[in-house]
Amino acid sequence: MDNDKKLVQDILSGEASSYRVIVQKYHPRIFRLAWAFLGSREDAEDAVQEIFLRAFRHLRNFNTEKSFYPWLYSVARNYLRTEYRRIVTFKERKDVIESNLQPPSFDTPEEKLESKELKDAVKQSVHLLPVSLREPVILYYFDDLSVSEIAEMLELSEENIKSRLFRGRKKLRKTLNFYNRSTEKEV
Amino acid sequence: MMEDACTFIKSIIDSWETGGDPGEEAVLTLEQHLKECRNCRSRYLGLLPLIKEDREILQSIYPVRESDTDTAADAVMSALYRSTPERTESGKTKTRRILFAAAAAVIILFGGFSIGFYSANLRGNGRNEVLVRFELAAPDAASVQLVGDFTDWNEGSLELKDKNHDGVWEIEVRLKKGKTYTYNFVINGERWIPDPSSTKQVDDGFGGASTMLQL
Repeated sequence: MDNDKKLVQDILSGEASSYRVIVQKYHPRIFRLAWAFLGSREDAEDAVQEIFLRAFRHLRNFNTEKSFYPWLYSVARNYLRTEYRRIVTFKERKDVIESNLQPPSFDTPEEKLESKELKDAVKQSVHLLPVSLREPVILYYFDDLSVSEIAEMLELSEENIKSRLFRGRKKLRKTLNFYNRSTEKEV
Repeated sequence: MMEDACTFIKSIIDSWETGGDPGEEAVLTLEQHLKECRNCRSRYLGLLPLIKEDREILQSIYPVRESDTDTAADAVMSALYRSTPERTESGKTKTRRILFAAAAAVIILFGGFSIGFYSANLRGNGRNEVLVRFELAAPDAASVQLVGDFTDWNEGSLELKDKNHDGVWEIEVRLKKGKTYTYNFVINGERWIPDPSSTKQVDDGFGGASTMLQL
């Protein structure tokens, strides 16, 4: 029997303690998603707790014949969308992020490709994407889902997802192109 | 020569952008070139973890510590789990389950016709209203609220009462005839459940369900 299915059945039978196993199993993925959506680790910490509480409240409505993570994601998604709108308007967020989006240092050839500055730049660029593009980008690149899995979870066609990924990549390429923003000129 | 290399690198990026898989060799070429060419580095370095689909780097962009998970699990379980330990005959402590209501009923009261043991007749006053009694059997709950579109989904405005101290919570609400309402019960201020006695449920937009009531 699928482990998640067994856990859910146990919980619905009254073994609430089994829910901890579910929380610990899926917390990293949901936390990462929340962080990527909301742009703030602190907001993500609050959100993820609320998401798991909501999921528990509605656990009876979960169809145990299906996979658990897509259902959990739908609970998370609905909450995150509302929270995102509540926290800050997009324009304000865009202005703040763009004003803080500093190019990483490209001076030394030996600089690490995994520098913190670079990671921050990628993170902020993802946050700048509109939600319709950010969501499939996050699921594909940060949650390691395939196009078909994303399509199923978002109830969209694969072509639609591919199109959004294409547009997301295009925007990321533009945002992360620091060549024109570099303060140092080429000699 | 460098220009040719940069042109080739641009073609790799173009291919990736349109959804193509650059291939391992191209990615290695890209990586090496970015170490050597500052212009291309400033243009494309940020895309490299995405192009490589390097899970290690990508996950380090949003790092999650084990302690984060433990803390979250503690917080969730603490919020969920309200227990009143009681001794069983064997002496072991058994935690009662308060997490699921036993039963619920909505008793709809019409003038001259009642389901249940209470009736109300509002026809005489000219209002197009019915008195609706909502009941929920939740013996282990400390509080039960009724929340719905008729409360603007605000918690706290309609508190059910356990008048007989028998674990059955109830409230009567005047609602308009001919309208359709959706509602939930909220147990202990945190657990939202649809009415277990009704099969008419609708998606609440949060992955769960609300109960639909047609009058």
